[in-house]
Amino acid sequence: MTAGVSPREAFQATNKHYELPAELFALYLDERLKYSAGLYAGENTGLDEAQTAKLHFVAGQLGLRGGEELLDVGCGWGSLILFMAKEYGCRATGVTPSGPQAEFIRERARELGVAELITVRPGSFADTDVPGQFDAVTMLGSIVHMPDRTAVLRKAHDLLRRNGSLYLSESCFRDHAKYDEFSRRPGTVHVTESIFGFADMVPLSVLVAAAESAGFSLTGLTDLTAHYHRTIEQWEQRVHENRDRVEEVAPGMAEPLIRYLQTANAGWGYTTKHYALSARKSRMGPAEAP
Amino acid sequence: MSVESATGQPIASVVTEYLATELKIAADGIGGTDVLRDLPGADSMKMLRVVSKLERKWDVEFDDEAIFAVKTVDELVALVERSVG
Repeated sequence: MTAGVSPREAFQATNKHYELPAELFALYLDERLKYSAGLYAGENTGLDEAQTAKLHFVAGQLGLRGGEELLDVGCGWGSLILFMAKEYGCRATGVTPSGPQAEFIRERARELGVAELITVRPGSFADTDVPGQFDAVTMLGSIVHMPDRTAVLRKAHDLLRRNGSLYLSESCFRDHAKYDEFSRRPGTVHVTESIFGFADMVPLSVLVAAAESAGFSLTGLTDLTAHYHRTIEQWEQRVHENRDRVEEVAPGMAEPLIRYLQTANAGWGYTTKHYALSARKSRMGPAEAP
Repeated sequence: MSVESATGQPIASVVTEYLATELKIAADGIGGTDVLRDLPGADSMKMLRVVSKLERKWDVEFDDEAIFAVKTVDELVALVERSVG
């Protein structure tokens, strides 16, 4: 999975999942099609509410005040860039290798009246020329699909202005021993290869090392494992509720989709963790007290 | 003598019941010396789901290394007994 996979091969393999029709994802994700963990305030928090709370959390971690220039690497269906444009007046750029996702975002941006704030760059981040400088870079669950982690973070670092911030969240095996033992098991391979094409859930320490090598000052770490567990429970429930429609939109997809969601949720805390990491392009880190 | 759960059900029978439910097999077909990974339909995901249900039932967290060291049904029962006893 790791050795010998070029960035190009990884993104071609990965893209198969993300090029499935948006309609499929609308059947189990939230209204914005945000394909990453929500943030749950209480027992009765719904999926849409949790995803909105999460986007505000990300904005807080980035220190957004409004009007910043933001780059989202692996932007999916644009939930984050559209939200930051709409709610924070950010000029937001998203990179995605998936043509259907890019088209979806452009249309949604027009509907939301933020088309002039949104730029979509189709392609894999490693190979895509992204002009300009940014105040913030986000990577929510996307670096898992990129074998060249340090190069990717170095590029993000280069694209940031001085004092710019990075927010990166990822699913990780909880240590090297679990990675060695479980990353090639059939259940894992189903998720990482059959569903996603390429995904390498390296331990957090590997991501921290990559961020360090790229020149970042690390400013924060949040454990979001429980929140991803809740999110996936709600996704799975929605797949069950909409099973017939799932089969209409993507025949044969319901069973592997449920298996993927159940495998992911079985592992949280035992074999895997979900962390959010924040960092700054700054020698000294934040000067103000947190 | 068997240790009992809060509801009075012996721990061994809760473990067997959870395994049977997860693997969709008959509880009376599961023996104490059976190796978990050899049970019909067993895989590591399903075993973790059983472990997680057991932890939630008694509101405990088993020791990580102990979980992954468990090989048989009896060993899983013993793990629960040590943690709740």
